[in-house]
Amino acid sequence: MAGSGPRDSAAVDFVPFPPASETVPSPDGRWILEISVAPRARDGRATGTMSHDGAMAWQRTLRPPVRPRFAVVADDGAAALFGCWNNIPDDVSIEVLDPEGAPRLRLDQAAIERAVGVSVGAMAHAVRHGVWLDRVPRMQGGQVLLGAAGRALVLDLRDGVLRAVE
Amino acid sequence: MRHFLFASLAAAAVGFSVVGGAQAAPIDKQVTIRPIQLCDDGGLNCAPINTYEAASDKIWAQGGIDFVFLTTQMWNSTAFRLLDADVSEELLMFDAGSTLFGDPALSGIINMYFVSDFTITSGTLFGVGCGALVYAAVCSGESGVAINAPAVNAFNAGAGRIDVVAHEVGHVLGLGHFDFGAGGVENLMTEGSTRVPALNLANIAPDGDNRDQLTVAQVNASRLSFYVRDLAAVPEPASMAVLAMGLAGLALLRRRGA
Repeated sequence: MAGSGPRDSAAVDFVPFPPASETVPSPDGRWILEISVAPRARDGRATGTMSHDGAMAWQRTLRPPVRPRFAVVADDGAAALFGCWNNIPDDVSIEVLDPEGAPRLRLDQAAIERAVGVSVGAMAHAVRHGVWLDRVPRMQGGQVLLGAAGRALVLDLRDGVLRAVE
Repeated sequence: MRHFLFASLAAAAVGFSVVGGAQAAPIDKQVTIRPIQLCDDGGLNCAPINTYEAASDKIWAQGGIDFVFLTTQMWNSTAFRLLDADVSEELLMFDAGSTLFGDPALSGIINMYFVSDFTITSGTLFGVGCGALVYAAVCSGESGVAINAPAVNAFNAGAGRIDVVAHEVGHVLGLGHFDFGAGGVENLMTEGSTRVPALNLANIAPDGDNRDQLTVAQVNASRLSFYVRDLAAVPEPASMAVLAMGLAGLALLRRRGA
């Protein structure tokens, strides 16, 4: 049987390839970020292509190794990238791009720790996604809702302020 | 008296924490591994060898276990240098390797094969570990570890996926992705797509970001494995001198008797 044996069991260390392409729309659907990778991408970088009302706004190589683990797009065209596919802890935990695709700001692990109030190492038991997230980031009302170590967080894409929601 | 009591308590405290991961314990056990480097039939295009011994030792220090690597053996086999996607060729390799290099199930030495790739279409397979009874069915009773050497070494821009060797040996010792407390991003045995591996020695538990942790339950289970043996005694220099003198004396007696 094809693929039978220990590869289908729990006796392996396996990381699936990312999807060849994924689209991330803004809440109003006017901005769409397409994240694409080479076939069977094991390393390298993804290409991000942002369109606005059907016309390409920008295209660039995205920073996270292989591809970001998550991405969100705001109604003003700003985008936020979270983590990386291979779960490699990185200097940059969150990167925000402006509507032209230029990096607007970057938040490192220390910024996450300050917002949450615990170290990344101490968050580990609560992590459900990637290196530090316990919930998938999503846009709501112009802000990004996310969470870590059981605490709800809000990220403002305009000024990069990451704060815990009381 | 107070100092004696403190020393006694300190000695009693050496061992494993109750909550969270295991902490470093005195090394009193070892796992012996025979690295086998796969090359083509002509002895060329060999898989690179990196045992990640320092990372493995630090990870398994949580369980008081040292990894001992024997001298690397070369195996010229085009057939096994690149393992196919659709056939469990690693099992065939483990079987053939047991005949050539010794059966792990008899010797207690883990054969660790460094191959040049696993050609699969759905993702990157970094390693396979067979030998524990719990995997006897899926591994068809075979024992061995296969490491996708180029993929492991290329991970993280060439820094390496330093915990793969330790992870696969963990499977051989009977640990799975979800049992004995595994499953969180911080645990050594958590499956590859979820686990956040330590990128360097400084972040291996209990240091730094506390990655690649082992739970107390994992340590206790693994130490019962057939492949975990008492630390091999290394004779002290004085003992060696006495031994040498005795052997010399025996040789002299034998010569006189002849």
